[in-house]
Amino acid sequence: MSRIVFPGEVIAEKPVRASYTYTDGEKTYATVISLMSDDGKLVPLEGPYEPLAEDVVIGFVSDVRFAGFTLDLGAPFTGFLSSRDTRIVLALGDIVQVRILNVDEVKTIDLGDGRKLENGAIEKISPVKVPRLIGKRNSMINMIAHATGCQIIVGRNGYIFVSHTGNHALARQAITFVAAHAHTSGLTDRVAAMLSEACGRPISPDVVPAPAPAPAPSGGYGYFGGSGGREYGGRREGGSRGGHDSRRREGGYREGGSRSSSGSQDGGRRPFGHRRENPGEGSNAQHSDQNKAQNTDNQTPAGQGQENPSPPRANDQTNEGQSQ
Amino acid sequence: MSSKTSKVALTRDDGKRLDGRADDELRPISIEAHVLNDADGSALVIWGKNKVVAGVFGPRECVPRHDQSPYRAVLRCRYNMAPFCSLEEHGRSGPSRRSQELSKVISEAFENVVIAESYPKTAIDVYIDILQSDGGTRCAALTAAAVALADAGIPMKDMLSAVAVGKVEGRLVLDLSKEEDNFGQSDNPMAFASRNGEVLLYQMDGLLTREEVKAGIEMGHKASREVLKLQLDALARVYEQPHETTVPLQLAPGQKFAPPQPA
Amino acid sequence: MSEIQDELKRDVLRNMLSQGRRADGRGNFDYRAIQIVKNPLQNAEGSALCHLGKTQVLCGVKVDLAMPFSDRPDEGVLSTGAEFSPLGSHTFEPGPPSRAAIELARVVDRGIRSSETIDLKALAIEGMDKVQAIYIDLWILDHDGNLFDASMLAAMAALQGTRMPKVEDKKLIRTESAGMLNPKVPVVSCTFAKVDERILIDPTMDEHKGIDGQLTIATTPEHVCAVQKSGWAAFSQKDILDLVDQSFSKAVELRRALD
Repeated sequence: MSRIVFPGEVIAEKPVRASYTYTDGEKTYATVISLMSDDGKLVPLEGPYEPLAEDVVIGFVSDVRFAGFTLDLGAPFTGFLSSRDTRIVLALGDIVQVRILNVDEVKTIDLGDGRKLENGAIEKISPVKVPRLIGKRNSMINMIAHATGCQIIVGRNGYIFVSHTGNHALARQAITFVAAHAHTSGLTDRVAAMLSEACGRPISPDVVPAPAPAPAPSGGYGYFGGSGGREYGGRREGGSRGGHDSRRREGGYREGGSRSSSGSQDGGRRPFGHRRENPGEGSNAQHSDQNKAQNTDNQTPAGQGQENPSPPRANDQTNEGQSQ
Repeated sequence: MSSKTSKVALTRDDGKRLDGRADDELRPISIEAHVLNDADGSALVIWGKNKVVAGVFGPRECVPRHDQSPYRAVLRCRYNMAPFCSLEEHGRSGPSRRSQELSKVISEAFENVVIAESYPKTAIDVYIDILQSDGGTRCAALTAAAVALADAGIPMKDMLSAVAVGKVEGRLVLDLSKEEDNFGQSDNPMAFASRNGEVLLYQMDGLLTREEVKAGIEMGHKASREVLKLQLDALARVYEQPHETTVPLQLAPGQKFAPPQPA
Repeated sequence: MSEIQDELKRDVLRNMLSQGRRADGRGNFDYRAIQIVKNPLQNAEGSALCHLGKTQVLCGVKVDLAMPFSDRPDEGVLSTGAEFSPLGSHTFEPGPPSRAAIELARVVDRGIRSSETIDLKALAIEGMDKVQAIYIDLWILDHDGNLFDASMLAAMAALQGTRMPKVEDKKLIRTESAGMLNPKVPVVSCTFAKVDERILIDPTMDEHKGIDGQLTIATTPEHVCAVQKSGWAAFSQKDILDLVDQSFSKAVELRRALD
């Protein structure tokens, strides 16, 4: 069972470093309204985006400069996509999928691996609801994409690209519905029902769409070494992660695992090495087998007797290896 | 604001206050969170006859640029009264000096609890509108703003709850009504942090002895815990009973919003 | 930066409209759900909260005694204000009323005044220099487009619920009522938005970013009583006549919401 915890509420009787928490050196407190499960997992219900290296996010070009492009990633963040790190040419207003290379102490964000997304629009949800929108093994987002015929790409920053091909209005409706009910149980079934009714044919979360030809990854477009520990447990405060620079990405993200184990040990609990789902292509593509995106649906909303989310595999490096 | 002798009798023959309350009794309060669609976070507080709405935006780009801080988010709170809020005349437009002072002390109360260092160069804007006033609006405003900030997911070290204590005919009383505020002997609004009861806002006027100051703080802190419960309940209900976002301004004080059941 | 987002929204809007669709699935001449809550406030002499889709507009009416306008000494005073409260939209800033807020107040005022729904002469009081003054204040709580129509509905509903305080010995006794204001005719407005050559009714905030112009037409059951064209787009002369007809037709549905 989970209970709701509030800003200023004690969540640990010792100092812990984790996202969306605060410690005074003696105890640790929640800083935003969150769900706390019995086994100590803290999942924020609301909160701003905390940019981390390796995050795949979506933004739009807000400034074109000689050396690169400034992307709006959702207030209050902007990132810079240097011309060195991308071969694509962008114009003001273009929608771009990018990966965060580096975030410094004053939240300056360096971006790489830009991929222009055409013929679509951005929908916005609160970033903390992104895992729910993606669903276990991409189930939720695949279902919505399949039912609407839209290409949907979910950025970790809460920006979601929805293509115009397909029923954009229904996709938007489904996304809004998930965001509004992200903390409830049985959500996947309810969304399936809603989509079935709208489409006039049964839509099921178990449908695995035939993989469409995946867009060729641009150079170094590897992944999801998620930085674990968005949830309680393993986040290192701000700053760069082991000296990322644009050359490293070709080799995949081995740091993934090590990062997530920092600072998260707490009385025998497993560190939160959750690697986040591939927030990249939702629908047609892909992942399914190739990227084995981890289960990020680790929220245990109140009352949901769901099967256990896969236990944190902080040190499991297998995913990284596959990416390239 | 307060006078040495009451022009109006503020205690009834049965010893109760004019509105029938005991000395340490709060007026009935309703709190609803997430009442606005556009704002990032919002709350409605109905406190006795007071009706207050708070809306929060941020962290967002800070304009004008010169207001920005390179180290932290700038917190900007604005307390504003609607011209139709008072029982008496139509109010003038624009912030009065009183509104400006209240905006300042309210901002400063939240500067203590909001973790602003996470968002340099941005602004967190808190707007509190007094739609109906009946004494104690600043406490209702602080209480609403705290809920709106939590609703917006702005990281905070603490929740904050406010309440006013006063003195009427020689006795300390809790949560002054408008008449008690106008004709009583002291008005003493205060706000407390939820974690450890630290005082985040403290003002008084009138005359109090040292013992009265101490007793007032104790009375106020105890009552602020009751207010905190209502604030947290309002936030929890956003998730436990999701419904269409609306400002249920018509609620009676103490009543909870009952969303129409989905078909 | 927000201008770029607006441009993106504009493209989305145009794209959808070219497919004959609106984002929420409405037809071009469909209103969103309207709900009016009457007299949610007790200190104001009249009040109403209008919900139009996600737009929420509050109107408060206060009655005072005031000196009449010098050119109309035997008429009561009617004054309308509008506050675009910064909590109502990420696009509203604190400060003096913007031109859009002033425009809104003046258009709603014209609708009420021209319709003569309030008998201003009846607000004068025998034996007194001062007259009764009706102050209508619109307070935008939540902006999701079409503030004009929501404000007109809120103002009309607030006036319909206004209790006049008793006047005795040249003073207002607010705790006693002298009866209701009883406005004579219901005034409502219809706002039409123009995108290229297409016309939509009741634009949302997102749609608002993509439109080129608006025409707001206020009507009583028999007459047009206020019109305002805003935005840079031109309307053809035929458009204007067509939209007047549409307004009369739509007004029936809007007046039902006032009941």
